[in-house]
Amino acid sequence: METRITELRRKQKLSQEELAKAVGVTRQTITSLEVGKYTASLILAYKIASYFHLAIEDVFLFDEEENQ
Amino acid sequence: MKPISYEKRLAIRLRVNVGFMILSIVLFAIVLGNKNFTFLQPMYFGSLIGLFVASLCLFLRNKKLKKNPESMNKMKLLEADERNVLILRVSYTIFTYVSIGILYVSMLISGFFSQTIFYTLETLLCVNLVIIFFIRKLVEKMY
Repeated sequence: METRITELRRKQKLSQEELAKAVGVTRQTITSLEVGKYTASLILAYKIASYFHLAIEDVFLFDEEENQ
Repeated sequence: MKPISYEKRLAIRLRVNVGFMILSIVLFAIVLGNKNFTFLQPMYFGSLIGLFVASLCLFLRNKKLKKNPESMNKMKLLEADERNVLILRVSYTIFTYVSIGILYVSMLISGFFSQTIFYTLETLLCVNLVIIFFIRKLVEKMY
């Protein structure tokens, strides 16, 4: 799934490690999310979106065609 | 299922480690005192020493983690990380299918050499499949 994590992280000058620590996952998970190799659970998606004070759909870009 | 804290989980693991250490010592003494299965003794000795050493290593690691909150939090994060959990689940699933496949092929090959081994492997395969079926049903009830 495509995400805006990299963009939002760079805007806030935040490292992957810092974001990972803030949402309680490993840095590798953030890397996988950013490159679209891994799809976050609802809980993690909520935590990341909350961290950036955004809605889940503003961070995680759901492509209906891709998921069919 | 109710989630339990990592500290409690560590305490349970420590108890299990001690349990396995005691079990391996007891079994070791039984094997040592039994003169009937001399041909199997080296195999039993090896596996029991392995069990004891593995339990001891895990016990020391868990004890060290319990004493050091920073290391404990790192390990907690590694174990709870959802991607790591997914990797572990997928690995176990693949491992199960590969094991079943190897067992099936071994069963077919053994048929050319020994009927006893063939039936032993066939029984093992059937038992494995039945266990997988029941575990699946059990897990379905949990979620």
